[in-house]
Formats: sequence, C-alpha cells, structure tokens
Amino acid sequence: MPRIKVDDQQPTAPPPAPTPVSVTPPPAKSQLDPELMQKSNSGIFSAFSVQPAVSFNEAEEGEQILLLLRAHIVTNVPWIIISLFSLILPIILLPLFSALGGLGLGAGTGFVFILFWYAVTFTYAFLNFLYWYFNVYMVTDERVIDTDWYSVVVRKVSSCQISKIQDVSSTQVGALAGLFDFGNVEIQTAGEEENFEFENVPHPQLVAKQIQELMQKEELEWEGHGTQ
Amino acid sequence: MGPSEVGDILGVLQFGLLTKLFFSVVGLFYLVFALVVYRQISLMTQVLDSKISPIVKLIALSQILAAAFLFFLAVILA
Repeated sequence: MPRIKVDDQQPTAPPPAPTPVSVTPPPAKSQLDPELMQKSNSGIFSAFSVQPAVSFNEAEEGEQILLLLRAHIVTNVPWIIISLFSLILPIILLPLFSALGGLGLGAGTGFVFILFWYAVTFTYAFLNFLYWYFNVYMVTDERVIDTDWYSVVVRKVSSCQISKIQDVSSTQVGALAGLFDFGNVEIQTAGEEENFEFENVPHPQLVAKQIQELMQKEELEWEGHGTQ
Repeated sequence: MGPSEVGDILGVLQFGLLTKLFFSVVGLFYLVFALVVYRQISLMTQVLDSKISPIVKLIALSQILAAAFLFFLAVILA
C-alpha cells in the first residue's frame, strides 16, 4: 500500500476575501449610437464628448453621463475677433494721441488708461469663454440636463427625466450651420415640465437620435415592469 | 502770476483730481467685479468639475490680483 505523505506544515490560512468595492459599471455600449463614438472629441475644450471625464454634483447615484454638449466652437469666433481687435487698438491709436499732445492727459494717466483698456478686454474675453464653457447640455442614462450661465450672477440648472420626454427634433439653419454641422435640438416634455433646447450643438441629428433611442429603451423597461 | 494763470493751474489740478477719482472708482468696481466672477466660477466648478477647473480658478484669482494692482495704480499714478 503506497505511503501517503502527510504534509506536516500547518495549512496556510486562506487569503482574506477581497473587500467588495462598489463600482458603477460603465454604461453598456448598446446604449450609445456607434456614430456618436466616432464623432466624440475628448479634448478639454470639446463641444461634443461621449462619456466625458467630468463630474456633475447633482448626478443621482449610479447615473452615467453619456453625452456632454456645448455650443459649437465656431460660435466663439465673433468675440474672439472683437478681443483681438481690442488688443491691437491701443497700438494703432497711441501714435495718433501722441500727435495730438496726449489730449491734455499726463503720462501716468495715459498709462493707467491703457492698463484699464487691456483689463476690460481680458475680462470680456474671459467671461465669454466662461459663458461658453459652463453652458453645457448633458444627456445621462436617466435625464437630460441643461446648465445655463446667463450672466455673472444668473445661473440655472434644469433637468428632465427621459421618461417624460414626448418629442425630440433637430434643426439646422444657415450655411455656417450646415458647413460645420451644428444646430438646435428641441426637446418637448410632458405636461407642465419646461421644454429644453440645446442651442448650436454639434451633430444635432445624432443627439436627437440618441435621445430617441434612450426614450425607446425607457418605454421597453416600463413595459417590462408592467407585465411583471 | 496773473489771475488767468492761477485759474489755468487750478483748472489743471481739478482735471487731474477728477481723472484720479474716475479711475479710482472704476478700479474699485473692477475689483469687486473680479471677486464676484471668482465666486461664480467656484460655484460653477462645484456643479460641473472638469480637468481645467483649477486653471480657470487660477486665472480668476490672477484677475483679482490684477484688479487690486490696477486700483492701487489708479490711486497713485492717475
């Protein structure tokens, strides 16, 4: 009879069970239109991001941001042009003022005036950038969210459940909108809920299509709950 | 020094004081405005936090410092 060797060593303690970590799984790929993934831009100044790397403090537990939208970057061109013109204007006008004897202003006053001019120019450009950057539209797996920064002291955050959306449509008006593919997405909601409008967002047809797909998914989920 | 010359000097002094007062008031308003902008940026970055939020806050802080410097210059130089 073969001898069975018995290991004299004490059996090692089993490894400790791993501490369960609550990890919110990323949204299923099937929730997102493949065309959206192709158009997504993950840059920090992106106007069209799929599953963006941002955090939204009013997000509910488990809610995933699918789309982060801003007005198309080309809509910033007017204020950029004005800011650049304001930057070079003192350089153009200074020789003229000097030829007129400084209009009676001292050198110190003139210097302070120019500094104020550039401060105002900087503030104008900075505020326009902030209005563009923080006016975002988000589509999550549960809601659509509109954050508006109308002025320095006026902010508004609105949201609506996907299940309460009745109709979604997109419009593109103008040659520029057609060339750069941006437009508006109108979202009509049920009852007394306010309607939403995503203004000048890139790829409005894709955005509307994605929201419609989410609406259909919500309907299927509700039908599934109803039959149970 | 005749009366007309004294009047000219007084006029220049008045004009200088007015411009100093003007720039000082504008500088003060600009400083308050910069503080409000910083506060609003802090609130917005709480709502929507992204990679450039620290940079935006830093620029807003720099604007406050620049506004304070401008106010100081307006009082001293203008």
